[in-house]
Amino acid sequence: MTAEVTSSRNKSVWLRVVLAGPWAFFGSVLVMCALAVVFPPGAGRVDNLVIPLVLFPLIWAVSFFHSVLTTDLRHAMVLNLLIGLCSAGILLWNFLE
Amino acid sequence: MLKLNQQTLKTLVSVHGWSGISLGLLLYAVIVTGTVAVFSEEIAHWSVGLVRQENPLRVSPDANAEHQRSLQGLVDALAPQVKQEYLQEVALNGNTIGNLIVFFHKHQTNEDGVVEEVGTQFEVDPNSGAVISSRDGTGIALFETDDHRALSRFLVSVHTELHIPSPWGLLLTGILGLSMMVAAISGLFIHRHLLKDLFVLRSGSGNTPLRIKDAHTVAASWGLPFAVVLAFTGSFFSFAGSFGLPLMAIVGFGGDQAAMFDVMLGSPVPEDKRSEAGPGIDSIIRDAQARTGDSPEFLVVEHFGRADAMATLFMPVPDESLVSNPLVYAASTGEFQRAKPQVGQTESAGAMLFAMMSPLHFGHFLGVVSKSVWTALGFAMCFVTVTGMRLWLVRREEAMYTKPLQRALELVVFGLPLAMAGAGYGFLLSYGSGNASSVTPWAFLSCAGAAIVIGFLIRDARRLAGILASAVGVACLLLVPLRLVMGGPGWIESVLQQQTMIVSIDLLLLLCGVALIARVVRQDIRVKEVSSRIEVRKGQRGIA
Repeated sequence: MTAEVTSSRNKSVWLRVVLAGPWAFFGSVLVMCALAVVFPPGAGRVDNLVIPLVLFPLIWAVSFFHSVLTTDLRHAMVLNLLIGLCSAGILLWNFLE
Repeated sequence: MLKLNQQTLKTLVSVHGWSGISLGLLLYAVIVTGTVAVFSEEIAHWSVGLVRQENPLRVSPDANAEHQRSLQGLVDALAPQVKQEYLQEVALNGNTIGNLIVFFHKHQTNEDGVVEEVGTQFEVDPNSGAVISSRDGTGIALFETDDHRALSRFLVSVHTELHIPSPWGLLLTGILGLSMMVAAISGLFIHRHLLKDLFVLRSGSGNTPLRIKDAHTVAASWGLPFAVVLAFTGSFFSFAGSFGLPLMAIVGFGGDQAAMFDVMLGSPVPEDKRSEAGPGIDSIIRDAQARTGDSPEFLVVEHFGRADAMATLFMPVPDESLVSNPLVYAASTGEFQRAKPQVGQTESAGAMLFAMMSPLHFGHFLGVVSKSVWTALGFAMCFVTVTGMRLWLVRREEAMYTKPLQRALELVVFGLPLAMAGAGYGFLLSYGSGNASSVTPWAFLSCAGAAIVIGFLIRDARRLAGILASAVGVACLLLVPLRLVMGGPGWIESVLQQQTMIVSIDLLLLLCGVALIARVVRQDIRVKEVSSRIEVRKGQRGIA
């Protein structure tokens, strides 16, 4: 029983490390790229390029702290997966267009 | 007081500690060099000695003034000496010692898909018009081998890329920026009595956990907003430079970086390849001076000598503003077109955000005043990083990794400034020989290597810190006489030439040297006092 609890705790720690570490980074890159597609270019024609670049550290920080502090890891995983899929879908649509 | 549940607080404390300890040494390196790099321009002037005060791009307000030298005439005289393809664009600016730099170049995409400038660069005496030197190469290569800036450029490169080849260095400093942001944000939540913490400093001596914690908390509380701003803007610059812009080019322009830069920086006009001399650069600068009251720091003419030529003038930041918008002129008519934002065609939210990044990160918007504030807060951040790591280690005194980590910490804390001073020695000894650009990094690495050897030989962290701190102190003190021996201007001469920055940096070096040596002497005295007290107590127990 104790071994099972320890193993489950280890798994959740690793999952959290993956979510807050590599996933938070690559997920934020994906979101930044997707924002460049959906953001209006604005009067200066650069808002879609500059604003996602500026927002990148903030997107990463939100993703990182959410993954670290959430008590419901499953919920965080689903949310991250959905955001990742949406971003990838937007980028795919952009490249196919 | 910020209320958090116990579990969240525990997690945040853990995140705060690990974000600091895992990358703290590298983060310290970036912050120390960044703190110094705020004054990179002043360091460049200090290192080369007396420089011309007048901007070589300044022209007389009176077009008919006698002895008026013509920048346009100078450019026209140089143009026949370069390859025809380099006449695509010409850039003019003043270099560190006040000479005029004229760079004829073209734009090309290299094999890595990166747009670069290639051409011929002349260094010209702005008064006589005599060519001092001419060099061919890419814009980056010419910049990286400019000996006048070797010291300040090297210090900046350690800050921005840790002197690691691009894009890996930028990527690493970007990650360090993110870790600094994590430490700052988590620190904000775990230091629950934020306002009270601004003033809490309990008395005591030595490296007791309580004393280190107080020092860490006070410095961190004062510098917290600054740390978040620096971490945010720093990671923006690093990531935008390493992969952000190439990714934007892929997403928005099918990978064509030239097309992206045309949108971001340029204002493409209909092509007109007819030759058209126009009224000349001088009248354009004269108009810009009349509009802004200042001379341009940098000027670039696209499609040089053609009917569609455009001149863009980058002006100093005005006193009442955070940013300066470049002025655009039709070079063939001399007509003022507009003040354009730093990126994009017209003012927009993106352009404004982008323009805010530089002043917030570099702190140069109010000249020496804001730079001094940025430097002071930078030192506070260095202190926070070091005390944070010391605190983490003091709390784990019994662990087997603590002693080697303590030595590594002291090695980096004092070894890095020693290597930076070493770079200064390398520069001063080699400036003028034509090798300063290569000698300066080698001097840095040699001093860093020597510090590492000392770190291996001395097993006691406190003793190691004392030896390295003394070495940094002596190195700072001796830099000033070395500068003078190598032909640098004396204090009276510098003040008479209104170059007080040279004296200020000298005084700062002397102050640092004295402060460091005094600190080591004070600590030695304290250690001796403590050991003599212990001996006395032992003796008393023996008698009893």
